[in-house]
Amino acid sequence: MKKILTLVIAAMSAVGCVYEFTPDIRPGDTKGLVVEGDILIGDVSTFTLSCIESLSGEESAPVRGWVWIEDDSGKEYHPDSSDPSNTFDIDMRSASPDRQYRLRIRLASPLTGSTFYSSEWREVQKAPVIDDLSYTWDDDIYADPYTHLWLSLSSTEGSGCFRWDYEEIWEFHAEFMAEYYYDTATQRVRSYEGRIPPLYYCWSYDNSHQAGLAIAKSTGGERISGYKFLDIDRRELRMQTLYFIKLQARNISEECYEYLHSIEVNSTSTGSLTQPDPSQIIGNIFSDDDPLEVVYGYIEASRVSEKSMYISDLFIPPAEPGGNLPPPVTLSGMLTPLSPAEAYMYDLRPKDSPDIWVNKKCVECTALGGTKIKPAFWPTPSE
Amino acid sequence: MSRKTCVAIAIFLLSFLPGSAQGVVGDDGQPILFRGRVSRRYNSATFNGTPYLDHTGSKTGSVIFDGVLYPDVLIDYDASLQEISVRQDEDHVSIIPDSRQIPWFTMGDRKFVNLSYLGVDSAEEGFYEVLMDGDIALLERVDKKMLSFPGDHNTVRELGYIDPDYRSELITYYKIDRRQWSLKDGVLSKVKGKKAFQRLQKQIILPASGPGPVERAAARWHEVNRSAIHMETPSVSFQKNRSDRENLPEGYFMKDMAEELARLDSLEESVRAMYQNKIYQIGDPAYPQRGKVKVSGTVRDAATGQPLPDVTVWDDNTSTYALTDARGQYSITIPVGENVINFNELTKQDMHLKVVVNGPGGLDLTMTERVTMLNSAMISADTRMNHRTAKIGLERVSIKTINKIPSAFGEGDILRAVLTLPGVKTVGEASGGFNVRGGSADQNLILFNEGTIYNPSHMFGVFSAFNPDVVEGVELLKSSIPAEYGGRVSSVLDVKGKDGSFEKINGSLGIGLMTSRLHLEGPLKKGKTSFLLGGRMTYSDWMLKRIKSSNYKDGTADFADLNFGLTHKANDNNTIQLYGYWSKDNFSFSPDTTFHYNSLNAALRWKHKGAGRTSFSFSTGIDLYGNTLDETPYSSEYEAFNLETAINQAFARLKFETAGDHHVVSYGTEVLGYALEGGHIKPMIPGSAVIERSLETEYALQPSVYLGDEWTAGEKFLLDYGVRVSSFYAKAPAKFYAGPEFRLSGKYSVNNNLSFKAGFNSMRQYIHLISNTTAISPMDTWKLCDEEILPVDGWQAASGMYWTVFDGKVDLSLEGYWKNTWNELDYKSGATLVMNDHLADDLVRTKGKAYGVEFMAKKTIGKLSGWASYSYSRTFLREMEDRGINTINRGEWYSAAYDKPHDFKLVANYAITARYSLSTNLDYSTGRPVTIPVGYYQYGGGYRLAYSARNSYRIPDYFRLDLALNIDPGHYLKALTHASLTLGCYNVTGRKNTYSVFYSTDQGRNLKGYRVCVFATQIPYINLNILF
Repeated sequence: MKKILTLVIAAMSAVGCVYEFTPDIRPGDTKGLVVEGDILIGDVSTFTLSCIESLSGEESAPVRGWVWIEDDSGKEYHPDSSDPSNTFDIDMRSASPDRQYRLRIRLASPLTGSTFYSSEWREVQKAPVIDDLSYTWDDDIYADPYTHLWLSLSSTEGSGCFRWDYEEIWEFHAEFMAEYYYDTATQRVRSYEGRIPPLYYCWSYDNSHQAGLAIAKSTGGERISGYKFLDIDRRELRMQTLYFIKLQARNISEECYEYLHSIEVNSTSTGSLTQPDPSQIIGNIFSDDDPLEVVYGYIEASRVSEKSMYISDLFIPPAEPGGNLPPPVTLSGMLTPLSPAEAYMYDLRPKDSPDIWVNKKCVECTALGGTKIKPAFWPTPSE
Repeated sequence: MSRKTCVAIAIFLLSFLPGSAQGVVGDDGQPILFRGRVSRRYNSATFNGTPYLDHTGSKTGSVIFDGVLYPDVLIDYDASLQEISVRQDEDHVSIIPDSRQIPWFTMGDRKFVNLSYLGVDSAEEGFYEVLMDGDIALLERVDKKMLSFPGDHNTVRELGYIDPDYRSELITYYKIDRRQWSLKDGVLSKVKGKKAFQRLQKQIILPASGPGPVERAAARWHEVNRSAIHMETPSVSFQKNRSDRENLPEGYFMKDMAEELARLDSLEESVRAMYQNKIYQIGDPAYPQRGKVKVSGTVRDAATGQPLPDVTVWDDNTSTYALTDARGQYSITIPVGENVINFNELTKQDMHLKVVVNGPGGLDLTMTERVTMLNSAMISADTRMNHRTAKIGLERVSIKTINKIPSAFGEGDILRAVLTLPGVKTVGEASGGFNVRGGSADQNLILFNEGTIYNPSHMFGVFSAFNPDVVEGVELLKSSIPAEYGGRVSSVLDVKGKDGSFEKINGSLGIGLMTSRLHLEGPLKKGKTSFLLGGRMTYSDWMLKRIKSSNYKDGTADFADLNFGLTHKANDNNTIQLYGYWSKDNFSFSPDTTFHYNSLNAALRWKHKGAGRTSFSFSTGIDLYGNTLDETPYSSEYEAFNLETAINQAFARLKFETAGDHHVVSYGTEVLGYALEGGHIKPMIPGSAVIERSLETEYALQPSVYLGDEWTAGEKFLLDYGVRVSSFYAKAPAKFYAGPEFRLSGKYSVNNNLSFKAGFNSMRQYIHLISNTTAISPMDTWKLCDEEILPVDGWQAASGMYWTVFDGKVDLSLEGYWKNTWNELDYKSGATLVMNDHLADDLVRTKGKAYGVEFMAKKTIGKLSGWASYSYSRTFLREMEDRGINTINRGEWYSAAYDKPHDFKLVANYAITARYSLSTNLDYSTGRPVTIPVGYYQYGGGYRLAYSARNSYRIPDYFRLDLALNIDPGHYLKALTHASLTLGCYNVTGRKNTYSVFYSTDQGRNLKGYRVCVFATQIPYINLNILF
């Protein structure tokens, strides 16, 4: 009986299954132009061209072409370079906010048979007001190790939908300040003679482009208040010395918001038995030759508001050093012998203490991804 | 001479009326007693025992027939059929006289009386042996039953004697059943036990001399009453070696008696079907009318007394057809004069009644069970059914057919049977809903004993919600929907529950791999009140927990349902019925998510038959459907929640029907009341992060009135038309919708075998199933119309040609349709459909168009029976509003999720022998449409998926073949139990039919596609059903 039952149960559990599904994709569906960027009136507009990549991982040929902006009076705005490219900057600082604009594209090599593309005519969305850009933190780093950044936006004539980008710059220094260094050219240990080592202070740059789509929709009225848009771990280098953020916010139409929201959802919610099926999302860029061709991307025209702020270690309690820096060691504790190719620096302790050698990551800020390029406006004297 | 010619001759001869029934001899000089059907010749090589009471052979006795005593007659008493056969001597062939004219006969010293003939209540038809005839009569009733069971049955208890010629290799035998009765003051009572019998024997006071009271009553009764019986018997007597050429045609008597008897055997079936050679007089012969008149009546089942629906009634002369309705009533217009009216029903003996029509009148009859099934059809839909009605797209499936169609896990499945019909599709295996002629799943009105069923399946579609043991049959209306039905745009699936038996308690037990079921029915008061109880449960839950190394180990999958019915015949004109249905389901394949859903339906119906041919019915009841989702995320128990939705509906219906000579007018009204709870979410533990909230309950009323007429416009024309005015009132915010719905269909019959139909329907629907998932899931919510969500409007035009060929054995049909709908709901991308206060914001209105052609060939007679169908159909949707770039598919037509162009189905049953039959079911269809990712692209700081246009790709085609071997019990109607066994295999080819596809992705990259197969292998099954 037990054997029969086992067989029956085994049969039942084996009746249903999951198998790989790799359907043949129609050639026409695997070619599609992707256009990213917005028309920013009063600023520089950046656009990139790319195309759909095959699911099989096959590399696609790079997309190259020309991009320009037209206004409804016929005036055109072109990038500085006239060479075909896939990244474009177009200066729109002198453009009038009272006109309508559209993006025009011409491909050097058609992807699908179309050469010219145009976006819809867009009215310029008025710049929102950045009511607030601030940050909060918890004294107890163990309870909450993050610095939270908040923003509040409002707009009198918008749709209640907002998009923003930001740039980040932060100064940091290496964990230790070396007094001596190993000169590989002379193979001698030399002193900095009290000077700040040249690779002690660094600056790093980043922006929101890799952080995903920064969009929000007001649930009532035309404002969002107290919206937490970024969390930074206080143990990161960004919070170590001085952090700067410049936020650019703009109004977007509800249609644009729906588009951006949908492509975000589509990429995470891929459908299942009890989930809704995702569907194709059409942007507002169309082929001049074939209006039914699918082009990925949405072009909006907006004016931009800007606000920036600093976050200094003077106001936020210092955190324990983070990262995975190797600990300082004495010469006798060094596991591997000195290599002339590695310019180890060491910090000389008082005479009766042994010399301390540290990995370069502990004393060279560039080893931590920083640069020596200091922004012109930077308020600290660090070099 | 061909069989047809013999039949014709027999009919001719049997219609010859020589005069009255008076006198011992007829005009041909032969005793009237010896006029009747030729006695059956049993082929004793196929069974043991004997059907005769006396196994030693014919006995000399006497018979009172038609008030006259015929002495010295050779008699055989067939205790299996409860009739006697008589002959003058050994040189004559035995004839079966009409038992109803025989109140009394003797065989040797034994005496037999026909108690039902004498009017004794509760007496069975046939004869009782009079053991003692005194102040109390002691009687014995012997019935012989043909059984087929292996084993040694050569005993007195089983056969009634020790058969010296017993053959052990035969499993068929005649079993004897003796029961003793006492008769006192006209009341028949069973004598229970030997001691009671012996006690009674001692008590009886016999008359001092002469016949006892029973014998005297038998002789006297018929003397008084025989003149009231309009009986004619044919002037034919068959005598060996006698050539009576005055009455019989040349060559009718063969020289070789064996050949003659063999030929007569072949006549037996048709002669037997002549219904006792009776001729009916309808109307007053003193005032004969002219032209055509209406003959109507009720057809009942002889065994249960139940009215028989779907009995074909047709007139030989004019080929006029009629069909009995659910109440067993029919009405047919035939010419005055001599006619033959035929009654045909799948499982009953054919009846061919000779009638002399003088004027309009009634003709009621009972039909007996057809004993052998070898030549009968497996498939319920009678031959020529399509020619009898003007309705297009009407399909009927009886429970017998449903139980023969192989299904997963072997249990008869109503929905699976419906899916074998042309024009009916599903989005996938084990899908909860079905689609009819391009309509979505919520556009089908599913009725069960007056109640509306919102979820017709258990366990996510693996089993149907209907217990086959309590179902009489299923009717699907795909196109021509009568005006009495409304509220859904596509179809009506009317599942008819059966009433409990009024005669005796019986039931069935079914044991299968996953479920078991039990049903019981019978009289609470014989002939007056009956009950019906049916229940099912599954033990899949218990089995899942025993799968040690499987993801299903912690899962739950179980259901149970219960059916209840009570029928009370207050009198001949009034019947009260009470129905109830309850079900519950629990389903979970992971511990964090569990679905529960349950249904409760209750209905009360009063049917009244008024004067003439008017009737009405009033019904009222409630339909409740609720579902619950328990979600307990692994990440945090503080996010666990419970989500409930429910739909509560109450209804009242009043229907009238008046039948005239050419019109059957129906009219009535219906009111539905809704209380729809869109959602209530609450935390599962205190301190949870989930905030309890509810969506407002929606209240609405949906009253309708209708008027319809079925007009027999002529011999060849039938028109069915009507109008329904439906309305809808939503309470808050108040919104009112109303509009007419037109129904029209017509039939033109070229001849008996060829007819054409055309029809048009418009329908409205005020309730929507909100689902943006592929499969219908229990958590899909229903939504009433309001100020933002409009009713669905639709119309359908259809036409068809119907042709019966090969001597009525094969029905061919070709139907085409075109359907348009407006305001069907589809969802926006990324829509949130659960607990959404502003649901309308995430929905879009679409227009739908569907068209198709369906061809079907159906064979209902013969060893091989079944049907094959092919359909080509398309269904498209298009958003009605221009939402700019957000418009689905840029406003172009796109395939609906159930658009499956090619569909081929084959359902067949081959009766190998009377007990063994093979069933097969073959299903092929185009894979359904899906939307799939076609590539990656970088945008907004991450990888995104590019998708195809909506529903522009398809999953692989669907193909499935099922086989089953059915082993039926012996062909006996009165056995205590019948056990049948079904061995089968679902999905014989083991094809991995895709149910759904899904993808997994890592931050928009590393995309992998998967397809889910519900039944990815062969599923053998075994099912045991016991009827008792």
